[in-house]
Amino acid sequence: MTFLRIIVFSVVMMLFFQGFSHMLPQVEPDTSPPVEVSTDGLDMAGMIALGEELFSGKGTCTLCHNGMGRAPDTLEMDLSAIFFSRLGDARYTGVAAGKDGAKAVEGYLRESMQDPSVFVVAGFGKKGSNDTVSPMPVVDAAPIELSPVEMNAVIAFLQDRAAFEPTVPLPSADDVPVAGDAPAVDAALTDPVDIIDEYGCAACHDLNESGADIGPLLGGIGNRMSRALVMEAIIDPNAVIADGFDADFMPDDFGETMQLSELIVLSTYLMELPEAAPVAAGDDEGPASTAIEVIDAYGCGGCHDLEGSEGDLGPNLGGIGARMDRAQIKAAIIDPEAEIADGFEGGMMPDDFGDGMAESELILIVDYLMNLPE
Amino acid sequence: MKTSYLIALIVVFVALLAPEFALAAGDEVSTVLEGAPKPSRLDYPLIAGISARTVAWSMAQMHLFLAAFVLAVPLFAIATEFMSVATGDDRFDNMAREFMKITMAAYSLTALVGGGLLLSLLVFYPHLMGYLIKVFRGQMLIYALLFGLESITLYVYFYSWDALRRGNRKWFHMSIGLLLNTVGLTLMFVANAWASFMMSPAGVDAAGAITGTVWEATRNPLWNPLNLHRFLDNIAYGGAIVGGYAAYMFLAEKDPVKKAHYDWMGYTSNFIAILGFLPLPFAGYWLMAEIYAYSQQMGITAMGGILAWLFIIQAVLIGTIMLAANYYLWSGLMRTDRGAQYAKYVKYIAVVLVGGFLVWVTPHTLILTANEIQTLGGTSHKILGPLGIMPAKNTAVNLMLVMTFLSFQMFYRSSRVPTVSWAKSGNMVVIALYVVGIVNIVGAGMYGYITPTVYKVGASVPQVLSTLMIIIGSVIIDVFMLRGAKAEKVHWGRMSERSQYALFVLPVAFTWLMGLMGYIRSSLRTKWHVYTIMKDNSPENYIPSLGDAGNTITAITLGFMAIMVFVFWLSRLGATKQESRS
Repeated sequence: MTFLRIIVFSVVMMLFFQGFSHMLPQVEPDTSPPVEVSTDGLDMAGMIALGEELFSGKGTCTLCHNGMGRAPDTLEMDLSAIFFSRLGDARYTGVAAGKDGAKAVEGYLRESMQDPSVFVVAGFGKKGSNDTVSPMPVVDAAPIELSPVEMNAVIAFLQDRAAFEPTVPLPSADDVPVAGDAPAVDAALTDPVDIIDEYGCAACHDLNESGADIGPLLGGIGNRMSRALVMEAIIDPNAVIADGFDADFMPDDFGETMQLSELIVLSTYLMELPEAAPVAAGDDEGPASTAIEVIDAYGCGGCHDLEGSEGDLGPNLGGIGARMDRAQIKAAIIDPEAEIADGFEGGMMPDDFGDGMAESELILIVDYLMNLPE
Repeated sequence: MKTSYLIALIVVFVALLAPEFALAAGDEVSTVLEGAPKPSRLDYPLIAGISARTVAWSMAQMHLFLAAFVLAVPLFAIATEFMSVATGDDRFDNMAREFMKITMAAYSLTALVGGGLLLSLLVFYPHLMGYLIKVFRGQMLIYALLFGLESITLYVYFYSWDALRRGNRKWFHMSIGLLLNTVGLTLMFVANAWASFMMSPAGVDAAGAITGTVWEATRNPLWNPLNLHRFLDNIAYGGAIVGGYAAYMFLAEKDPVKKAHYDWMGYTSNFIAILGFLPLPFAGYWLMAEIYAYSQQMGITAMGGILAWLFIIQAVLIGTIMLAANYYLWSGLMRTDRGAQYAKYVKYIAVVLVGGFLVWVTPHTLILTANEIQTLGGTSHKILGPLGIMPAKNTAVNLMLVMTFLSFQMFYRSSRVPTVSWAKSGNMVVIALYVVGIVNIVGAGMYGYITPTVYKVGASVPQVLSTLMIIIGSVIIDVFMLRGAKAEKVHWGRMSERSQYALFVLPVAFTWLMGLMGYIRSSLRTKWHVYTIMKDNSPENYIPSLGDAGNTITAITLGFMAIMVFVFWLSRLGATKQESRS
């Protein structure tokens, strides 16, 4: 009996520790094989965007360059003033000493990344070194191993933040591809069609022949926007809203969920999209006559798992008829912000179905949902 | 006679420890190596869908658990044996022998699992093992020889116990124990060299080509911090395991005499565990400081990056250990008639311990998503955030250590009434030591809030010194003040069953904690077999999530505890005799 009690006691204690490890936030690893993405054709705006990603991602710069006092808080400083004070500092004797201009800043930054001890900002040197030895690792060697293109991208990003015109060369086909190993939840996708499916872009945009028109048409966008703006529009969709569309429709967390390599692949794909005639689903053809047509027309499957779409941005609606009555389901379609399902955020689902959806379509979709099995 | 034995043995020890002899002997077999291997993802053997990392991880951790135990127990067995010689009390000698009895049962399992570890590494990570063998050359052969010597000395030490128990023979026996411990520690130091080399390689160039001697590779930046940390940890861990054994035997025994014996054994083991545990945070602090000094990036990955949440679990585990150890000590006050007069202070100690524990589990620098930062209103909690930084945590841990020592001191004093004339003054000095020390600890903690990072780290030094001053000062005063003290009877065996479960918390929590720290230490290398030298391109080169790691650690702990319970049962079975034929 004693034997058993001790066993049970020990196991319960271990399970408590195990359970506690599951209660804490989980940093899911990137288990995908390494992905390499060509940077050939990337313009300067794209380089700046890439540099920003690298600064907080693979470059691990923000591990120390933050407000914690381990290194200068680069992103919070007036970089244009700082750069010139550094170049003119009597202790600085590097390649750009005594020079000025954007090219000198490029030289200073490159040198800082490749040989950080050339100039150590006062108060940030290794203990006991009297600010002559930097604790910063060399970024083009292990373990960081930024490629020349990646270092150029970081320099371009910092020059841009200092309001300089970036002076670094653009990547060419001969350059080493960029490793797509930014922190991510799942394996990085390499096919733009898969990326569009994964992130539900076609639910609102007319992509992958979805015919959706909730979001702006993207055909020929490469003629209207630079690649950097396209990347920014994906990461921060509310920064600029296309005419005729409302803010807060598009999810604003792609910057967190989408991997760098996916962002590059997707923006490349979008930049090359040909001009296309708008497809107005349901506008001129009258109301949909089946629930499936309603789902297709309004892109419900982009976010919800309907008709095998496997969408998971919105709640699973299987068996919803057992949990809600018709009036509640209808209300949830017309005014989705009134009540948000546990684990989901507001502002994700369009709130204009009450205006755009015909009454007959509402009845069809509510009927469909009431009978949807678990 | 005994002097000549000792001199001879000391010569052997010095020879074994001399780096030029023991650690650099393989240098003559110089190997030309252009660099570390660069295996691709496809070069790692995939065998029947088995997770190579899980197998190697489990084997390594299990081997470490068992090795820590079998290396630690002889250390305090010989100390206890010495106590028996010094005091003439045979109870110490019997207990030391019983310590070793448990070790004997675990030793063969250690070797078995060690063999399993070697096999799994050779099968699943042949390139890494090939590289390490080339870097450390003959040292691995020396390790094998030492292992043989360890086995011989261990068996001789245990089986000669009764034959060499009295007179000069006892000194000879203790010399064998000393040799056993020297060989055991050397084994640990050598194995630590390989593990620390993988974190902070030395004696090789940036490509991994060998440029230095084996001794240079051995004496890499993290070797000594790891040696100290593991040495102290082994003592604390060994004490905790033996304490678990004593608790198990206490609960299982019906005979009051035997119960009293195992209560005493449990108390001694808990004392040993705490003795090893008290300096452990400082050793851990040194290790982490050296990690920062070697690679700031590696340090931040641990403390403020992807692994930061792990230290919250560490805090919970250490808090559990401290609360359990203290609870056991408080329960011990019932063994003496004067214990009640100290019991009234327990609630205050408990408040400080729980408060310190809560400060320790307060997170600060963590990876957060934008939404989490928005929800939290910043990168840390507005009110509780300041409790998450090092000055607060250092203050908390030092106060917890001081209170743990106070719990022990209360029990120790409850069985002794000082008879010296200056007892009252002595007590005043002890109280002053506590007051000044605690004020200094709290003051230095507060100073940490208003000073730059460099001085913030420096502020921890006076805190540690204050803690040590309280402990060492109190021990010195007690030694003199309680000399010739009137001894009160200690009713060994007068303990609640609940207290024995508290004693059993220690090995379980310790084992889980060691598993967790092993996970952290290995994860610090991120995607490198040998940091910055040899990349880990295997399919499982990522850092597992906290939950997945928790599952694996629990499974390994479960396996180890099952082995330990089996070992305890074997020891009990070994002491059981059938009645002789009439």
